[in-house]
This record gives sequence, structure tokens and C-alpha cells, in this order.
Amino acid sequence: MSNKKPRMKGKDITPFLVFFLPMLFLCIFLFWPLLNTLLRAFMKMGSKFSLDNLSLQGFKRIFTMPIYLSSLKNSFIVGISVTVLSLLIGVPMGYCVARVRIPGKKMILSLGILPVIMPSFIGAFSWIILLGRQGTLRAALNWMLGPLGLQIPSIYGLGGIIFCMTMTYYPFVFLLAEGAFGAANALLEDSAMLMGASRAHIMRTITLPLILPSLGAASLLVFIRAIGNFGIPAILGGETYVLPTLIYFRINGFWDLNGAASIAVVNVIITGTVLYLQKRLVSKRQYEVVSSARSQIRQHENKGARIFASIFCFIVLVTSLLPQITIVIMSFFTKWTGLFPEGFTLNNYLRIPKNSGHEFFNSMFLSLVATFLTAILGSLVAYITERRKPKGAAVLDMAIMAPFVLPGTVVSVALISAFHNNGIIALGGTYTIIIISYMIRRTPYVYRSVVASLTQLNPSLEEASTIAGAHWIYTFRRVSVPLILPGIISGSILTFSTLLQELSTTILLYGAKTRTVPIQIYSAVNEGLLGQASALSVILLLIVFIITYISNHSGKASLSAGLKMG
Amino acid sequence: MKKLSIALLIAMVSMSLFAQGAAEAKSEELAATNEIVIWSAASEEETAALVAKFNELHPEIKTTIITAGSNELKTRLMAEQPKPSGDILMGIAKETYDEFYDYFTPYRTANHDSIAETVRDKGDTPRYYGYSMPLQCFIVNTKIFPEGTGPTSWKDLADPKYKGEIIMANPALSGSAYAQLYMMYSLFGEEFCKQVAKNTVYVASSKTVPESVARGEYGIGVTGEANVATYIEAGDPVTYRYPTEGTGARFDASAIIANCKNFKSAQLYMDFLTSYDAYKIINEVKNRRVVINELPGPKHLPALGEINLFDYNAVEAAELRNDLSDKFSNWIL
Repeated sequence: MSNKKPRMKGKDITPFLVFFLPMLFLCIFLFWPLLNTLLRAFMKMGSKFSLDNLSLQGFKRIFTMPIYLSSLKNSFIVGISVTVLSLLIGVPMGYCVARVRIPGKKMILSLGILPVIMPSFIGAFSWIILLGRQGTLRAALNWMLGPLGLQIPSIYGLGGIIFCMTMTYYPFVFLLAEGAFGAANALLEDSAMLMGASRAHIMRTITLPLILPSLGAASLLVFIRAIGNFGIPAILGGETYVLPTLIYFRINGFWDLNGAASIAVVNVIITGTVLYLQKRLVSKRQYEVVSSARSQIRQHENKGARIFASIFCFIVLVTSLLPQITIVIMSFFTKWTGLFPEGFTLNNYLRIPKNSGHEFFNSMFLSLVATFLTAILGSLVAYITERRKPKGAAVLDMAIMAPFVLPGTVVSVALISAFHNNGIIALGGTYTIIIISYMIRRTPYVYRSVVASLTQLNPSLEEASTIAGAHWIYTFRRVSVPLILPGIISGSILTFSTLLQELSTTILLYGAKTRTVPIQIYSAVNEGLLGQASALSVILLLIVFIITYISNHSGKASLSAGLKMG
Repeated sequence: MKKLSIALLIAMVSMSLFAQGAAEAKSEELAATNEIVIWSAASEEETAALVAKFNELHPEIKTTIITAGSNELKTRLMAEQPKPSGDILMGIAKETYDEFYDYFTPYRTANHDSIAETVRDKGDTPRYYGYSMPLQCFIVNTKIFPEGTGPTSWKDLADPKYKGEIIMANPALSGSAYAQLYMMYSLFGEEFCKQVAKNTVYVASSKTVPESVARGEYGIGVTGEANVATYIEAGDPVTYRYPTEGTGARFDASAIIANCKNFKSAQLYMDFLTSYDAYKIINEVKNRRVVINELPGPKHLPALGEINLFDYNAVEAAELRNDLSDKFSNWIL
């Protein structure tokens, strides 16, 4: 790739390299495997890849077989309900933390990220321990509610899936809304107030339009995650199947890549439609925000508001952290099958240095390197699509987001099939392939975060720099990057946190040298060693908590800062 | 200058990535002769015990273990064709080997004669040998169904009084989950399976089945007997029931993966894996039923002689799999 000559003689080749390399990377590791998957969707069931096999059989099944139709319906119900509920919980909570004087804000923000990064197969098991038919919490609640003639239903089924996913994904809305509320230009609101506008009027005409892009981005994240999640429906769903369940069956049960691809394509089309609607909604708005100076946001001081806000945040936070609390308790015991955990022990922790040292190194190393590279790749591509607006930007956008929509298994299988030992690039069993697939799967985080920052950033700052004679690469480096840096950092933290617990890709790619902590957790869960699995999870949670807490304290890099506007 | 250095930095980072990949791959190929990579669906503890013993016999062979669920290993096997990075696949339902027969290499182990034909691939140079015998049986929660109550036969599973109490893994999930459906189908036919489907909750995670019954979330599950023993050992209120009509004689197997890198070491490993010593380890570490008669049945579970077995027609089962699973998915709605 380095012998590629710049097109224009004597010109600076930097921009070319800067954009050419990420594009080359994307072509090889994203577009090709995706194209492969797309073609497979139109082939007869099975795993053979041949253009003679073209057929619509896969799609016909989806729209004729009852189980597919019901899964499609369930996926829609889950996706929409989880998004709406997350907005209903996350937006008020974001407002409370950003605009009401309540204690422990940084703590709330740091704890708020934890539900998202819990491996979903562990989260779902914890919910069963708490709210299953024999659940501890359910028993306690029923005992209290019993005299009133009320009964808490068990967690199984569609309702349970929606509840569990909302509790897992609302932090996206909460964190992004908090960032937006905290950063919306106070001068605008102040001027409106000076002119005599009511609070409600300001909210409707100034505040909400300003935070709309953030809410759009957050809803999209929630929707995509909700309709792509496999772990929660697999464990809580009972017979409530969703599209990812069926994909899992097609791949793991039948090795029917083509059938799986058809379902995946339907999944991507649904998400693509939502993505398109979100983009249209956001791009219709015009933003005034130019200044990069920050002004103090006015906070509600009235006592009633403060008490209400504190209680609301506390309840939501504690409820959503129940699985984490369960895991912490569980990590000191050997089992928890009855109402209470049994067999207190410290062994789950004491054995970690000896048994998991290498795994922790791998997890940290792989996640750090992948995060660093993802940050570069994601911001560059976001800059290209948002500012340079090349032809086909929409396709690029779709392609970047696709690995986020597709279940991890589909992406990994596409990558392995495309590259394993084919002689062009040797990747099998190495750190490299894991890092590459992490990058492909997580670039959307940084990408989205930076795109959101860019849409809120008036191009006139950049234009000014250009008019003053700066080369656009100079402009990018000295004007755009500093302004979108919070977006890059927050995207990176999210990337890193979620990579630390990545399972579905790693399990297909890991080798003896590259075993990670989540693999160890998974195998402990499979052997019924929930105590050991919990102790390992607690350490991962602690690492993420410390990182987010520090970054929240350092101010500039707060997780929600990705959407700062002022 | 600064611009150029940024460009160079980016170029170097991306180049080093590829370079690292190439270097790692190269060193692996050179040292291939005295290595072996084992893909194991058995537990880590059990696999490690087996490998430790193997290394006593062959200290010169550097052994690498990859443990994962059988579904993940199967997916790896398929995705990595035609040059798999593993040499041995062990501890997966025999149906998998039948289904993907071409992905395994025939090899007659040194202990060939001591393994009965019923628990290996038929023929003189089999592609797979039996590893353990995880018979499918019922796991019953004794708090919900004390002694003398609850189902004792496949037929009972269709009894409406058990509606909502039965949990099974979806047959689309794995070989053993499908085997449960096929056993009922071969015994009583399609109509019967429809009735069972109405009574039963079919889940997308096979791990959930014994776990749920042990916790008392459901009263009855159908699962591998080793799972029942695990929860009995842990002191949970569960017991086993072997259906009175019998359970299919199925087994888990091991084989050499076709086109593997370390064929020689793989042969030595298969010789070891079919030896008495290896079966003893499998039998003792995780308390499993093995395929040779010299060893006792697993702790907490009945001896083979006390269990009613019937011949499991793996060929017909495989032929019907797509069709039956599709039909089945309509019955559960």
C-alpha cells in the first residue's frame, strides 16, 4: 500500500495517506466481508457460496414461516418498546443530573455506564436470581405486596426481555441527554428568559431542539442494541424468539450461513430505515451554536425539585444496578440457587492472580490497542462523511454501522471466512485478527460520537480557517480535532469498556495465547461456577468504573462530553 | 514536516499490524512438528487433566488447548476450512461428526480393538471414537415433584397436567437438543411431538435447562445426564429420571480434524484418548459415563445395566433434521 503514488505531482501526500489508509482498511476488512454476507443472503440455504445458487429462498422463509414472522414481530416490539422506555427514563434522569442541584453527580454518571458494559449472559442470569419464579427479590416483593393482593410476575417472556433490556440500555439515553442538557448554550436560554418566555416555552423551542441530535443518536444506539441482542432473549425469552435467536440457530445449529445472512439482511434493513429517519430528522435542523466558550448552566435550586430529582435518580440507578449488586454478592459465595447465596468464600478472588493474570493482560492489551486504532479510524471516517460529504456518503455510513447492527457471530464468521488462511493475509489465531474484528465492530461508537459532535459544530469555524489560507488538513488538525476531541474520547471510553467484556467475536477467534477474561467467565458459567465467574466480572466492572470515574472527574473527557455543544 | 510525520505514524501503525500477523503465523508453521492444538467441548478441568497425562507420555509435544461450547467449536471448524488451526476436536455429540463427516480424517487408533463398534464410527479406520456417553434423561426438581410424582416416561411429557412445567432446548440449537425431539418422533410420531410441543417451553440456551430446573423455575427438563449429576453434586434439589421407554444410545466423540497441521501428534493423541488411562480420567474428573465397560458409571447416576436403551438411528435422524426442525418450529407457536 505504501508504493501507491499520489495522484498530483509535487502536492502534499499527507491527506491522501490519511484518508487512503482508513479507506483501504475498510475496503478489505469491512466492505468485502459485508458484500460476501450480502450475496449469501440471496443464495439457497446451506453454506455453499456460489453464484449459480442464487435464490430468494431465505427471504421466502422469513416472510412465510410463522416462527420467523413472530420473531420479526417480537424484534419490532422489543426494539421500539425498549427505545421508548429508555427515553422516558433516560431523558428526565439526564435533565435531573444536568440541571438540578443534587448530590453525587459524578458518582451517578460513573455508575450509570455500568449496566451497558455488563456481559448480557451474566446480566440475564442475575435477573433470574432476583426476579425468576424462585427469585429472591420477587419473593420479597410478593411478601410485601401480598396483603394488597398484588403479585409481581416472573421475569420470563416479552415483558421481562423489555424490562431487562431497558435497564441495560437506558444509560445511552441518560448519558447523552445529560451531556446535551449540560452543554446546551445557556446564553440562548438566558436571552429567551430575559424576553419573558416561560420555562415550558423555552424547553419546547430552544432546549429540546438543541438536544434533539443527541436524543436521536441515543435512541438509535438503544434501538440497534435492543434488536441485535441475543443473550437476554436466549436466557429470559422462553419461547419468545427474536431475529438474533434465529440467526444463532441457523449458524450454530445448522451451519447455514446463507440462511443466517438472509435474516441478518432483514435486520440491517430495519435498522437502516431507522437510521435514515434519524438522519433526516437531525439534518432538517439548523444550529446556531458557534462559540466554543462554555457558560455556566443554571441549576434548579428549589427544594422540592432537588428532593424529587435525587429520589428519581436513586431509584433508577439502583434498579438498573441490581444485576451488578447481585454479581458482587455472588462473588463471595459458591452458589446461589435458593433464596439466599450459600458457602461464603474469598477463594473466587484469591485464585485470580494465579489463574487469570495472562487473561487480564490480554483483555487490557487487546482492548487498549483496538480502542486506540478505532479512535483514529472512527474520527477520520466521521470527518470524511460529515465534512467532505463524498459521493456515496450514505453507503459509507450504512457500511460503518452495519457491524454494529449485525450480531457479533455474523461479523466474525464473515471475517474468518474471508481471511482465514487464504494466503493473502495470515491472521489465524493471532492478536491481529482479534484487534481487527474489534475495530470493525466498535468503530461505530467513535464514529457516531464524532458525527454527533460534528453536526453540532458549525462549519463556519472551519470555513474561517480555510479562508484564512489554512490547508484543510491543518484545519482538521488544529480546528476540528480539538473541538471534537471530547467526542473522540467519550467514544473511546465506550469502545474500551465494551471491548473489555466482548465475548461473541472473541470466542470464535481466540487462541491459547489470546484468551481473554470474558472467555474465562463464559467457561466458568458453563461449568456452573457462578462464584468464580462473578469475581472476574466484578474486577472488570471495577476497571471500567475507575476509568469512567477518573474521566468524569477530569471534566474535559466526561463520557457525556461527546455531545457538548457550547 | 509535522504532517508527514503524522502520515508516517499512521502508516507504521497499520503496517506493523500486518507485519505482526505475518510474523506470528510464520513462527507457528516452522514449529509445527512437535505441537498439537486441541479443541475441546469438555470442561477446562477435564481437558487439562487429560492433557497433563498426555504430556507425561509425550513430553516433547507442546499442547495448546482451546475450550469453548460445542456450538462455538463447530462454528470455528466450519469457518476455518480448508485450513483449520486445530488438530483434534473432542467431546462433541457424535451427530456432529456424522453431519460433517468430510471434515474429519480416518485414523485407526492403537486401542481400536478395545472400543466397541457401537461407540465409534463404523468401519476399520473410523473417523471418530467415543469419548463419553451423555445419555439424555429427565432432570426433575424434587421440591416440585417429590418421589412418586412427576413424569417417568416420554409419554408423560404430553400429559396436559405438566403444561408450563417442562423446559427443553430448541431442537434448532444443537445436535443433542434435536436428538431429544427425534427420540420422541421415532417412538411415537409427529402427532405426539405436537402435543409435547404444546406442553413445553423451548429455550434458546441449552445451559438454561438444568439451571432452571435446579432453581425450581421449572419442574422438569430434558438434558444430558452429566448435567443432572453436576447439580446433584452441588446439593440442589434435583434427581434424574430415565424415561421408561428408554433413551437413545448416543455418545460424544473425538476425532482428528481433516487438513490439520500436526497430523502426527494428533494420531498420538487419539491413541492416548482411546486408552484406559484416558477414559479413567474422563470418568473420574467430571464424573462422566464413558464408552468402555471396564469403568463404573458416574457418581450419583445409575449403572448402564439399569438404564433402558434403544438404538438411535443417527442416519435417519440426520436426514430428517432440516424438515423436522422446520415443522417443529411451527408446532411451538
